Amino acid sequence: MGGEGQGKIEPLPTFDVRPGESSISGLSSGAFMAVQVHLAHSARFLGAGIIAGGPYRCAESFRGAGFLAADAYTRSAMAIGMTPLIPAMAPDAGRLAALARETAHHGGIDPVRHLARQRLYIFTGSADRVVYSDVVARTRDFYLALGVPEAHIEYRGDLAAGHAIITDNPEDSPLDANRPPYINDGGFMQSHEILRHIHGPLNPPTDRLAGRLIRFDQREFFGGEPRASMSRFGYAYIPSGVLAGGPARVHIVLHGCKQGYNYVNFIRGLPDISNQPPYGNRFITTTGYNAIAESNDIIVLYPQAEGSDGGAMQNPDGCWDWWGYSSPDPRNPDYYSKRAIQIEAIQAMLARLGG
Amino acid sequence: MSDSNAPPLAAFLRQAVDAAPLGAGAPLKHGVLAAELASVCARNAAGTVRLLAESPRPDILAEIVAMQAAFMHQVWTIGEEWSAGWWQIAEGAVSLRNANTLSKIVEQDFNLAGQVGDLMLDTTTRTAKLIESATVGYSYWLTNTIDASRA
Repeated sequence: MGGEGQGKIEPLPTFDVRPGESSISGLSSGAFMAVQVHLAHSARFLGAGIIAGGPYRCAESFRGAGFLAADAYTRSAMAIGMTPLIPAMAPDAGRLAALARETAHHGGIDPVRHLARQRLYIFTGSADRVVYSDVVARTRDFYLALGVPEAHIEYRGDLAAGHAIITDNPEDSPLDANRPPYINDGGFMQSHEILRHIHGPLNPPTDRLAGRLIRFDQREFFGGEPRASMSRFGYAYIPSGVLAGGPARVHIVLHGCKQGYNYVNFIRGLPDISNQPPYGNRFITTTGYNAIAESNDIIVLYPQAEGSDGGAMQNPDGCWDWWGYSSPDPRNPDYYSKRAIQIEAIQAMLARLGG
Repeated sequence: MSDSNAPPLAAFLRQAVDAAPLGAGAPLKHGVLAAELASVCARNAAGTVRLLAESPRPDILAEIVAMQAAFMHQVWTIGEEWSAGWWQIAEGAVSLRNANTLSKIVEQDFNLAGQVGDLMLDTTTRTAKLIESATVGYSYWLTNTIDASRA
């Protein structure tokens, strides 16, 4: 990638993208959101990679958790969707699969029949202290209940990894760490495993990125509405073969909490802007997606969420919405459907690219 | 989804809140939240007594014991990290006084005070989060278990 034009903000371009061959992956809140986007638009996808993410609408597992719907869903997300004390406290995959069918029946998401051809990579580290393995196991059960063949699912729960995407970068945190930037060195590139499982045999990753990492203004995709909790900029890696006019596929990557490009830690409720960590840039440039994308003509789209603390919006860590904070009516949250502001935005970006 | 066993008062309050104007959906204040959590605890206690009276099955008892063990393990972990935090602050206090300026000494003193505050804040919020999550998770489990035992 040359240095020329790196400061540019450019419109997200359109390419010759093969229809129905896109895919998506994410870590933590990005994984929960990847499941939601995957369910909402399954006709457009071939598969998904889920690292430490729970099943669809699991935040709605227990309405009895609070008098107000927003409180109940936030508490359910924490207690049931992230850290259940025992397996019996984890989300009920069968019930959530029924909820997905009902949502599809009402047109909120694509028909679930599209899931039968999907390929899933699902990962949980046995040392994960943020989203417990019992939750992630329910994600596998959820997809099985919706008709994804068992042979299409690669489920990995055998590695003593913490809450992180795994890389082979010596600079990253130890494998069992559970701390930001949630990028741990495990001696392999998990992004490559994900893309190989979903798309089949791929060319080896390149050592030389000849394509372009472009910066685009995301606001046109969510109308600049604050409740979207999305950043001004998004990013996309465009391989050199695609820039030259060749056919492409699109892979969407959703970062986890505290991993957006402009993530700022909140100290005692205030943004600590003098110590802004560059976690987001690390996630985009060092997790291995771009290297394997370059050699296989896969466009990698990196939408970005951002945080705010206090007031009406409680998303200090810049997480993707999987419990309803972006819904205009907290009593009837729509964070999970095609109409959800974040899902609409991501879908519009995919459509712009041609996918 | 699973709230069929909510007592009449809780069900009434939730219906009232759900029927309120949109602005009433804003997050509640801490006094109300604490009272709500206390209500869930009371509901859990009553539900547990009823469940064990109606279905004193070994698998249910085993799950309760497993929950208690998991809860205590997390309490122990928080306690360990609380102790480690104090040791770290104590070591920091002993190694001070190597500064060349008064301003640096003052900064170091306030850093220590800040570290004590951060440790207390972190421990308190983690404990509160654990109690809240365990209470809600237990209530969810209890509701599902009672439903299953009646089916």
